[in-house]
Amino acid sequence: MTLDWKKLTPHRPVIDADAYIARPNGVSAEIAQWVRAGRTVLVGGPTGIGKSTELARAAAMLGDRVACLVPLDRWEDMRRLTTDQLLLRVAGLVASLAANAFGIDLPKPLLGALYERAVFPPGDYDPAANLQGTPKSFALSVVREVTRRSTQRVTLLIDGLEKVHDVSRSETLFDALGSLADEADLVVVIPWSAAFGPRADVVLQQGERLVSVRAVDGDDGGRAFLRDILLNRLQAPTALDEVASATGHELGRLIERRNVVADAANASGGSPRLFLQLMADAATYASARGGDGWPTDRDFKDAELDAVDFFRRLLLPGDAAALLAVNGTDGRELDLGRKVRLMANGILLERVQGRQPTLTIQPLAQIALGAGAA
Amino acid sequence: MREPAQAIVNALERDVGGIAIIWCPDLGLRDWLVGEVASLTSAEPVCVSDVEAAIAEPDRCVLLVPRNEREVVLDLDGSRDRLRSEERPRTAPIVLFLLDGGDGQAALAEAPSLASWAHGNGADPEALARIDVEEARGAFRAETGETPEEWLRRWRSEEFAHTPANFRNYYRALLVEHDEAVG
Repeated sequence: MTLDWKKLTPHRPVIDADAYIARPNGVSAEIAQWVRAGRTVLVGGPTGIGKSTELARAAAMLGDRVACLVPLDRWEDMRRLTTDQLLLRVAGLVASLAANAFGIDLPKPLLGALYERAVFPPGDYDPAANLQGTPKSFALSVVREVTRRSTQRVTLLIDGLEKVHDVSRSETLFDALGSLADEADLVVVIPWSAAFGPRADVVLQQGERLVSVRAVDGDDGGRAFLRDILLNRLQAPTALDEVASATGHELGRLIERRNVVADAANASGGSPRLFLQLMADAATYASARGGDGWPTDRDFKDAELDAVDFFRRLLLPGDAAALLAVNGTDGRELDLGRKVRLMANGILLERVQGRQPTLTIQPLAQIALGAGAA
Repeated sequence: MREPAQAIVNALERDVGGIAIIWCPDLGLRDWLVGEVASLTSAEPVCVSDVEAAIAEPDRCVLLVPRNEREVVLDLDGSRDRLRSEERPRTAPIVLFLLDGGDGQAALAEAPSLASWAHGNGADPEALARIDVEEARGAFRAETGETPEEWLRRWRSEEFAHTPANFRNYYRALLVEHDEAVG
């Protein structure tokens, strides 16, 4: 069987509910639970850890609501996103979801107004009848109309705001979102400065819950989860199963495949994206060298070196000493700006042992430190 | 042992429509590397200097050579998901050329979204190109059955298909040829 390694697409979250693989420390059920309890949910976590996938899963679990995923960064340049653009994009995406997934026809003057502002597809609108108003009024109107017509509450799951690095601008954007909180449930991926800093407790309003998506542990459960993602994306669920008739060379290759997958899981530090990137990179080396399609140990080592090189370039002067000093602690001694940057980049990973969060250096970043980082 | 050509080809091939970063030692070599990478791509690439121009070319390999490295890195970070539109997914990579130790590298540390997307997808041809010529020559002959010179002559006569494996051999042979030429 020929495997298509291009299907790994490490940077794509799992949006399709059928393709979701339950993770050992998944947070989708927790998010859905807090939404049903009427709480605003803030979601934090480093890049590539599975936040978007967990958000999509939570949306699928909220079948008793009009749950709308709003991946802002797919539509907007997050460096230049304004509050008006944010509210218009929310209005447009909720209106689209209502029409496409729930068959709810919103009033044409409202849809026409959204079309005029380039956040809704063209249609049979009368420009003279289109509503006039502010972006906030359009967003509120859409949410209210959908709630009334569906008789279900609207839940907005907003992804991408972590990419707004400017603190004062992100506060303005969150204030704008807060204006929708009375009309809709809100689940929002928050900026790293809020997720990893001291202001993680209140971003939108009192009573909100912070849910952290963390790297999976390097135990059997974590490794099995990563392996299952790999096999699912390759559409080869039995590729690592032992075949009774396998002997000699075949058996040796099977063992090597399993070892490569286990090594990649360990090297990833429990980050699904990095795990898939390592496997994709190794598979590209394997393809260039010929062979049976599966990466060998040599291919994986080369991919691992690529990743180590990349980690080394992400380290700034002073990071090496800071990392070594903070490894194994709760990180309270680490300068906040450095902590946020290192955690957002997945160089420092937060794990919970007992109920105590502990920071550890990502395994490949640890190698980068030994290889002469800053 | 990784080779420069292999690392570059890997960076171009790993993610369909992804981002690869080529680290350049200086501006002069950056121009040379832009030409070399252009020769490694299967279709006619387009050279641009800003992110909006890169987004506008989803079906061509984009060689992104920034005038302002920091701005381009931060723009890519803020626009990452616009580059993977589901309506019209990219079918060819964006290759970002950054100076080793330059403003772009420093900005990358502050651009987690871009860094996460491009992770492991960088190539530093200069660092990887430091070879032991005799060892490289012997390994090349052992793998291909030909000397680097013989192989290069056939490559230049268009006897080989433009596959990732042949590009890898091309670069390996080229490195031996270059190293012997400069002594």
